[in-house]
Amino acid sequence: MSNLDEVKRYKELARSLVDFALIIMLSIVVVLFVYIGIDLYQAFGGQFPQDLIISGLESIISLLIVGGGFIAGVLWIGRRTSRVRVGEWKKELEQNSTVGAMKILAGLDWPSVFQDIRYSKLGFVFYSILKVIGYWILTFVILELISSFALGALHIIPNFAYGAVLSLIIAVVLSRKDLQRRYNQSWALDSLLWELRWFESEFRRKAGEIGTTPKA
Amino acid sequence: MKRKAWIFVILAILMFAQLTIMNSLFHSFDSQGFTYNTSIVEIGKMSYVYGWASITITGPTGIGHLPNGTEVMLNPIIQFTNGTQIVVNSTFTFKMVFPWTGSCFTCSGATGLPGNNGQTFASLDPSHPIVVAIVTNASSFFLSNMPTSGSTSNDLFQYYWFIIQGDATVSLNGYSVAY
Repeated sequence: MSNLDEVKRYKELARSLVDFALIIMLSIVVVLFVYIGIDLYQAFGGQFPQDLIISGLESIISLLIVGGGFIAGVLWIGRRTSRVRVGEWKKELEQNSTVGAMKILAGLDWPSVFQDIRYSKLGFVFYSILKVIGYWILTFVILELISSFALGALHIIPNFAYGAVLSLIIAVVLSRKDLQRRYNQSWALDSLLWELRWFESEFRRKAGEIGTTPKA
Repeated sequence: MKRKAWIFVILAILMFAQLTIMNSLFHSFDSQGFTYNTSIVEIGKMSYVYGWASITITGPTGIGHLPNGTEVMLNPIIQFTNGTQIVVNSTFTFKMVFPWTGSCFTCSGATGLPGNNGQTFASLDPSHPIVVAIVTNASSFFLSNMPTSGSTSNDLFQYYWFIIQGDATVSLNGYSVAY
């Protein structure tokens, strides 16, 4: 039942990914509006001070807005998953463990449970990918900001392709423990699914023998 | 979920619209070059473009001597088509504004900035609605055939130019918006 509670959370996580993607898209739209504002200001005669590098200014703005959107998205997902009601089955077990357990198991919608596990696994994988992409973008912007100042002082022109590849490597290395954990948990969900399938068929068989019909 | 799908579509359309606006409406330009003898700095734009350019001219100062002993001023001289002349003392920076003069919704013409010996510099078209060029050592024949600065050709193309006499380094940068 604890595992099914985790599956509930993962299912909510999968649902929250749409919100996460919308928050990131909204932050990108805001960044583009700022860029258009800067273009309008320059197009109608505005000039920034000579010592203020426009590309540095735009990188800082991108970092703040997209970074803020990324953090807001992660906090939103955390809030949604923490609000999932779990552990309600504990009250039934506290009253009478055997009858309570039979009641809970007979009341489960098994096809829905299996679908939730498959759906949550998908959301799990996508969340990992989105998290790595989010770290990648943030690392890339920070790296470009640092390199444009540091390499500029050495008169070296930074290569954006190298920066993109390097920031991806950094993002994957920083996320390796999280990726490992999620990979292991993904396999654990597969095992859970097979075990529950076996358990459900055994339960139906036993329930049929003792005259208790579980929910179809 | 249906509402979120529509929000996703609206945000995607908004992003593509913003990127299109940024690529199509705003154009920056940047050019540097050297001049000697009589040179022309020319700017061409489409009539539906508003733009400005910051021009910096740097050159030698003082008095030099020709091989026959004649003294000549080394400072470059900027000569505008209205007759105004400015002697450059080391560095001179000024700003030119190119006004919007009319819209054009279906135009698709293209031309180029004229150069010496019938050459054409910098294609002026809807993809490049404002362009600059520096023509060095311009001939008197070329000068006599230059269109009037600020004039409009084919109701679409506008030319602005001025002359630099002498050796100088010219740097132009500017911004424009097409609407």
